[in-house]
Amino acid sequence: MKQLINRINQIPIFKLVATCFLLFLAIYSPRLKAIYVTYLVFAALAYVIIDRDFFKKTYFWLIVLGLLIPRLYVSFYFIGNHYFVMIYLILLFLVVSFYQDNAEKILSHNATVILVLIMGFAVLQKLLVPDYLNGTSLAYLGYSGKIFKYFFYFNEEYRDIFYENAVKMSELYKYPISENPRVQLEPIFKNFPQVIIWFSYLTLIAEILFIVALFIKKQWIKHGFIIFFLLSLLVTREETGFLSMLCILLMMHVGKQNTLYRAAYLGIFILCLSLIIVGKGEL
Amino acid sequence: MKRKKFIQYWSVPTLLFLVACFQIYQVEFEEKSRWKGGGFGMYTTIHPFNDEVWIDGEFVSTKNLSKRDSLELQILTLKVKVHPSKHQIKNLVNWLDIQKDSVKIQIFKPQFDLENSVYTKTLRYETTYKQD
Repeated sequence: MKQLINRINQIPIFKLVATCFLLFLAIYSPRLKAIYVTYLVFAALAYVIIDRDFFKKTYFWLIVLGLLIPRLYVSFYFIGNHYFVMIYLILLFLVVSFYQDNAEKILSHNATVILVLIMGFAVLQKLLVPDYLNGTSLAYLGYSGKIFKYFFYFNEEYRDIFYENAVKMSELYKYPISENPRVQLEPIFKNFPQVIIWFSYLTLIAEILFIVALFIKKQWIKHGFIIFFLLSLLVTREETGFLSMLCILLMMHVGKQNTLYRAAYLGIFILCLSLIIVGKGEL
Repeated sequence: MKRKKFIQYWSVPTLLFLVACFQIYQVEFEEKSRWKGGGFGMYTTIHPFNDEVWIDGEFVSTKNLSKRDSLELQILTLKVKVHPSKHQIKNLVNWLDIQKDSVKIQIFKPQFDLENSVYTKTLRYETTYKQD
């Protein structure tokens, strides 16, 4: 274990995160529904074998950026927030390829600010929407079994309830608003609505604590909380795409003296990639 | 020196900040969905793809269409759900080839009465589109 952590420590951080990002892109690109990206990313990975200092080349990142911009334009209405984070990461790599002497410091500073902004905006948007605070948003996912999957899906009875709820919800479109359509759903247990509301507030509080944790000096408290946060996100929502991006940012954020935590984020990143490969999770 | 420091440490976060602020502006003033556009508002509302588009009191359905037409209409309605701008509504109305001077566009979103586990819908956006 110590040897593994030492080996991770020996890899320059810029090279580590650049390789992780390219691996993610290669695995993610078939789902982009733009097949040219897949071919070109694999060509880029082949180039990595020839030139091990690929990450230092500005033109390399310009080409990778060029691969993703067309989809940003064509599918602007459909792409998720993680796609924006991918673009920001490439821009950051582009900047660092210009100023390599300061790579570690630039990556760490940018990653911290980006993480604060991502969580900050996530919290702000939740506070702006009454539908979130009254539980509506998560209720839809909760009643159809799209969150807490790993907690409840082992039970066949629960699965049937989720399925029936999902079917009922999908039929609402048949009725005009003038008929005041209402669908009675079945909670999987008595206090399920309360659990949904608590979970909404808990998520909000956890996101605020995530921002606070980034500035906590005691490393085991800070990273202990963040790792717990990431794993909870994985278990409740299977957000493997977004989580992969967060792991790359956290690897940059971690200082050189805390390689154990860098290895932990790399481990979660690899777990997310494995789940993407076997078709699990949201992208 | 200052410019160099800005590029190194603040250029990318500034871009993120500006994109997110623009998205929030569009959400608040143009009914754009919080889920899309780089503002990190995912899970704040039910995903807009679950909303319904109704034109002149009729649900816009892809039923009984060829595979290609169904896909085209689906994409156009999804765009309207994500951002019901005049441009997107015009594209949808033109595709449907509606021969009227004005049409009423309504978007309904799912709503929950969580206490009673009742799922219903409510009006999210309404406009009258006048054809040129």
